[in-house]
Amino acid sequence: MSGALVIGGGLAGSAAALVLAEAGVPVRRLAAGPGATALTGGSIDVAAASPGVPHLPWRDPRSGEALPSRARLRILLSGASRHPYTTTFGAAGGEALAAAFERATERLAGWLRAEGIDLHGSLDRNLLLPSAQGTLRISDLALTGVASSDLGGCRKVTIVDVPGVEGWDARGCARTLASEIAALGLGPLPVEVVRARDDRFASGAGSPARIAARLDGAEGEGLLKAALEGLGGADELVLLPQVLGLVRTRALLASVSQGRPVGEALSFPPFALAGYRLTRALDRACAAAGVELLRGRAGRVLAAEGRLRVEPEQPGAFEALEPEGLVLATGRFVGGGLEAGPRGVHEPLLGLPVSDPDGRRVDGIPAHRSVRKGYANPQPLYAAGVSVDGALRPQPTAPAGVWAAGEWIGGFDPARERTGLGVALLTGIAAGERAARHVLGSNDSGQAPRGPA
Amino acid sequence: MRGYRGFLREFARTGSLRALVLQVRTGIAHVARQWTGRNEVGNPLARFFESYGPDGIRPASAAERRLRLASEACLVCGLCSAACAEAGGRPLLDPRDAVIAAARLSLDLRRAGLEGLAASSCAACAACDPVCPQGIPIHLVQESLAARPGSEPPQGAPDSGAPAARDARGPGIG
Repeated sequence: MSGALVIGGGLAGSAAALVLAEAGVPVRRLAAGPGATALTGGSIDVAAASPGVPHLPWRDPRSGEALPSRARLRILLSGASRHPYTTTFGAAGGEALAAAFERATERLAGWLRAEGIDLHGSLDRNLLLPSAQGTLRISDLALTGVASSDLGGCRKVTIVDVPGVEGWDARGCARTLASEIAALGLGPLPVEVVRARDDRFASGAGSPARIAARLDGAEGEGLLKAALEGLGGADELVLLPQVLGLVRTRALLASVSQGRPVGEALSFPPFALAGYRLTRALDRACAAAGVELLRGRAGRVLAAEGRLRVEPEQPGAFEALEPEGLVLATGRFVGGGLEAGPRGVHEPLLGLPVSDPDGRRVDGIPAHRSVRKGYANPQPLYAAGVSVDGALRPQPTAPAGVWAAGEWIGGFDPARERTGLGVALLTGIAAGERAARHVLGSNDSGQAPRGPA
Repeated sequence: MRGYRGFLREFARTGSLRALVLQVRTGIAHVARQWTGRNEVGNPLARFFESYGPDGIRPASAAERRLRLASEACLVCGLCSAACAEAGGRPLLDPRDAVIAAARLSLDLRRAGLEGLAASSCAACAACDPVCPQGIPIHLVQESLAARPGSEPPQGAPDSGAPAARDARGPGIG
C-alpha cells in the first residue's frame, strides 16, 4: 500500500487524516471506535482555566486580573515541561504556539462548517460556559449549541425546566450556578428557573438523544419554538439541556433564537450529544475529503527493512497494511492506545515505554499502583503516555515514518487540565503535515507542502 | 476462618467455657462441611430456580456470559442512544440501558412480566455498534435480552472471553 495510514478515530486522528488528504496524499484512517473525543461536553479547551492546576490559572496570581488563554499558553510553556505544547513549541515560545493554534482552529472550523457545526471563541476572550450541574467552565473554544450559552455580556439567565429529561435538574443547576457566579465575582447576574410553557417537544422521550432526534424534524422544531415563546430577551440567556438536534443544531438554533441567546448547557456523558455531533461531523468531513475509513483494531506495528506493517488484533479482521507514513493517534485507555491488563500498563502497538509527567515509568506496573489517594490530587496514571521529541516522533525507539498525535502523547492529565482536545487538534495537524512531507518527499522531487514547522 | 483463629484470645478475655466449646464445634463443623461439600442441599440449579425464577432471573448461557463480559466494559457514554435515535430506531429499551442491564443480570423478561420488552421493538439495524468506543456488540445484547426463554442465544455472539469484544463489524462511524 502506498500513501499514509492514520490509526485513531478521534479528533487527533481525523485532523491528521484530513491534513494528509488535503496535501494530496492517499490516506486511510483505521479506527476501532470514536475514542475519548466523543466524550466531550461541548467545549474544545485549548488552554481553559483549570482549578488546582498552577499552569492554567483563571486570574493572574499577582494582579488578580482574569487571564485569556493566550496568556495561559505562555504560563503553561514555562510551568509544564513535559506537556505536549511544551515539547512541540517550548523553544518557539507562547506567541508561536498561539499562532499555531489560530491556524489549527481555522482549519478545524473549515472542516466542521460544511457539516453544520461552527467553532466559536478565541484565545483572547474567555467563554463562561454553564454546565448542566450548574458549574462554570472558563473555556476558549466551543461548538455550536454550547457556545451560545456564554455568560459573558449576559444580563440574566433563564434556565428552562423540562420535566422528565434525563440528566437535567433545572433547580439544582440554578442553585449551583448562582453560587458559582457569586464565587467568581461576575457581578449581578440573576438566575431564574422557568417551566417550559409547552413541554410537548420533550414529553415521553426521556433521553436527550430521543428529544434531539425529534427536534431534528420540522414538527419538533415548531414545538420547541412554542415552548420557548416569550422566554428571555435581548442579552438574556435561555439555557436548555443538550437536546438541540443531532444533525441540525445550527439551523435549529437560528430558527428558535429570534433575537435572544438560546444555548445548551455543557453536559457530560451519557447526557451529552456534543461528542456525538463532533465525531459524526469529523467522520463525514474525512469521507468528503477522500479519506478511506476503515474499521478495526490494530494489533501490532512492525518495521523491517525500512518498511512499516500494521497487523490486525484479531487475525483476518482486515488485511495487513503497509503504509509509507503512519500517524498513531490511538488515545489512552478509552481509545486503546494504552492498555491496563493483568501484567500492568503497556502500549500495545509498538511496546513503547509509558511515563508520567515526572518521567517515571508506569508501564509494567499494575494500574492501581499508579493511582494516588484523593480525587483532586495529581494522578500519575492519568497523565501518563508515550514520550515524543519536538517533531512528534515517538521516543526512544520508533521506526522511521511514524508520528504521534493526541492523548497518546503523555505529559499532561486531560481530566484535570482539560487540554485533551487542544492537544489533539495541535498535534493531529502537525503530525499530519510531517507525515505528508515524508510521503510526498519519498515519492517525488521533495515537493513539500507549506505549513507550520 | 479468620474470626475462628482468635478463639483462644477470646477465651482468655471472657473465660466462657461454653463459648469456647461452641466456637471449636463450629470450626470443626465448618471445615468438615467444606471437605464433604455437604453445605449444599439438593440440585443447585433447582434451588436457583426456586429462589429466583419467580422474579424472572435465570442462569446465563455461555453466549450470554460472553455478552455480559463485553457489556461490563461499557463507559455509559450514551453514544449508542444518539446513534439509535438518529437511525430512527424506537426500541422500548434504550441500547444504553440494555447494555447496563446485560452487564448485571440475565432476565427472563416474560417471566418478569416485561412481555413488551421481550417482544422488543429493536429493529437490529446495528446502528449502535460502530459508535461504541468499547466495541460492545450492542445489537446482539438487545437481541439476547429479547430472546425467549429457552431459545438459542443469538448467532454471531463474540467468542473471545475478553472484557471488550474488539472485532470489526462493517463500515460505519469511527
